[in-house]
Amino acid sequence: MAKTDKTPLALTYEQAFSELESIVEAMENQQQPLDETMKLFERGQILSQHCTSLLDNAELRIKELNTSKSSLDKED
Amino acid sequence: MRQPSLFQITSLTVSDISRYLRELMDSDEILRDVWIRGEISNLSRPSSGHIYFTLKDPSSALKCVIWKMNAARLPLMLQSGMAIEAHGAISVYERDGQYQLYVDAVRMSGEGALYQEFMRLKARLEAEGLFDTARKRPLPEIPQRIGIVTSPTGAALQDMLNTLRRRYPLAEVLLASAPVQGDEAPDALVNSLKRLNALGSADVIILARGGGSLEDLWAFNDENVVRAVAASHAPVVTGVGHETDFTLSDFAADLRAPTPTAAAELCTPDRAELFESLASLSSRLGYALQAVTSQSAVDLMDLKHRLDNLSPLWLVRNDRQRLDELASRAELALHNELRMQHSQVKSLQTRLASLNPFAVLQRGYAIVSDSAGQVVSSVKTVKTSDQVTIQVSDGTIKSQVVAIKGGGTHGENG
Repeated sequence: MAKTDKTPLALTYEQAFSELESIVEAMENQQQPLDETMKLFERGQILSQHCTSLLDNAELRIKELNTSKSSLDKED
Repeated sequence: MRQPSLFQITSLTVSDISRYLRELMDSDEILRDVWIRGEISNLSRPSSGHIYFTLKDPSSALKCVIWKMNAARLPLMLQSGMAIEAHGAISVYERDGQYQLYVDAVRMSGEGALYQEFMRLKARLEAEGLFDTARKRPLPEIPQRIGIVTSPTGAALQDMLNTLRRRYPLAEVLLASAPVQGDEAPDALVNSLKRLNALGSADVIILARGGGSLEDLWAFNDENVVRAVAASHAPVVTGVGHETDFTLSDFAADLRAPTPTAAAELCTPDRAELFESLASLSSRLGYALQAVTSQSAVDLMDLKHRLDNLSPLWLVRNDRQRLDELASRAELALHNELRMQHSQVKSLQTRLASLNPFAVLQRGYAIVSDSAGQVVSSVKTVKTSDQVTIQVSDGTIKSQVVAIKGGGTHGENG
């Protein structure tokens, strides 16, 4: 199980999503003791909310590599 | 032309004849709209922006000029020695008295030649294995950084950025812009691809260009560009031209998209789908918790039950119950016995009553007893003058024997 010690808010969407996935799978296998399950559930909820808010609030970031001959208007 | 006169030879000025020739040529259907093929020589590009060259074939030459306005729109970089087909009108340059071709469009000599070059290169690179399906890598499901190589000014870039904003705004775009047509395009495209790979952080690279003519897309058939696509560490998605356009870069790419927009779509998950899978994970999370806790509750109840069964209290209660059971059974048995006894007594009483000798007295019989109280059932037990007592139903009669008869066979009372 991909459990990181990072606080969920520091995770990227992909990291948070994949951890959420493995938490759900671990819980569905029911191999965990109850208090571990409760902890997993709480973390899963935080991860899920984190992912949702990332998706809701994301703004496409654009970084230009060749500033030398750029005629592009900066997007964001 | 006028007929020469005997008296006066009329002449035309050089300008007159030049203008005349020019008008003649300009009104000619063929000269006004013609494709001419040949090899470029004496190419010159003065600072004015116009381009001058001579088109040659083995036996003849034709002066050509491309005005600045048309020169800017050329799909390819003209070079001396290049075999091209030039389109335009033939007219007279009056100052030099020369006819020349005013070029407004240029193409490589024959689409056929271009196509053959394309096919030759394709066969060669294919033989090297550059296009093998085994080389194709899967795209990351959720890319963090998306490299884009395209023209900074083209509509293709805006289309792709709009698509990325709509579908997956979490991504970061690394834009390595490059001209996508003209002589400098191949080197610039290669350079951009290399720079993105050197940076190492792009999860996927989109190589794109909007629609255009075969020549417009030619940079994407350049051998170096194709090799750079194949050599890219990050998977490359091409979106060059329209759906019907195939370039060699498409063949070398890990995935070919029909358009730049489609390339951006193929590289990214859809936000709506992400929301859906999040919602599904979230509800699975809830169910899983519920399953675990309710299973725990069931386990707990089960254990509690088993514990209760093992409790000494339970044993005592068990015994007490058995005791109660036994007591009530005993009670029942006793009750039944009593009832039976009672009914037996009753029946005996009935039978006894029927045997009561006094009962017959009601019907008129009497019992005679002697003075000793012995029942007199035979004449032989009394003598004349004996006192006897006659008992009837409601009392006794004291009597004295007056006479005795009988002593025969029957001993009935008298």
